[in-house]
Amino acid sequence: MKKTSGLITSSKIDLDSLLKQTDDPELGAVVIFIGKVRSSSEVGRVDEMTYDAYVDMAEDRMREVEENVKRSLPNVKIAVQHRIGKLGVGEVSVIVVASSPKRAAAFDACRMGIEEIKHRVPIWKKEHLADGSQRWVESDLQGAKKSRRRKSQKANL
Amino acid sequence: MPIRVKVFYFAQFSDAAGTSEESYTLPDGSVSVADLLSRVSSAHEGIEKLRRMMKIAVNKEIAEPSSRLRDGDHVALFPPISGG
Repeated sequence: MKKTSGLITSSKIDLDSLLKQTDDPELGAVVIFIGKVRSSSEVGRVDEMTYDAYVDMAEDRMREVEENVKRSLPNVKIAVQHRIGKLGVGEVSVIVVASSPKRAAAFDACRMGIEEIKHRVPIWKKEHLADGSQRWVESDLQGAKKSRRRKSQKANL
Repeated sequence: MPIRVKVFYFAQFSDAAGTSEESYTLPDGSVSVADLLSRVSSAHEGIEKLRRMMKIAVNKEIAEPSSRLRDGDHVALFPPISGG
């Protein structure tokens, strides 16, 4: 197993630690996003999910995500952590915690944090399906492109 | 001077290469990412089939086939990101 730091971990994500990192008596609104392994996907029932990461680059990118959010939304604190390795259905793969004096900025920061993680941090997931097959999950962008192509092909029929 | 670079494979690229990392020595004059990719594709047929979805990073920064390589560089090949 590759060496990991706090931002990418092969152990269970420590929500308490993330809450402590964003704790501040001036910041009264705290929003938490928790991403878990779903039991189904577009191709069938999922038993487990393996998360692979380019750990060195992913840690840099996770730090950049935190910095970008703080730069875009002043007075916000944010803490993020992503788990890698093989996870069962219902296990937590990613947590974003954002705190702010008011709820609107805390929601915005949390949303921005998870969106940036999903689009910028080099992590990939492989579904282990109930029928015994496995497949690497396409990125949201690839999936959207394919869906547009299918719709366009149907329209041309 | 020939240069030596380390190549890291992730997700489908690791499956296709049958390994997660290996080293390549590139001769004089063959110092672009494209030069390295021809060597990698010759060694692993499956990688060539993944070229359309290939993303490249050199020393943790996104790179292009035209990017120049230096001795000791770390090159990573992977598909578009799908974490979260």
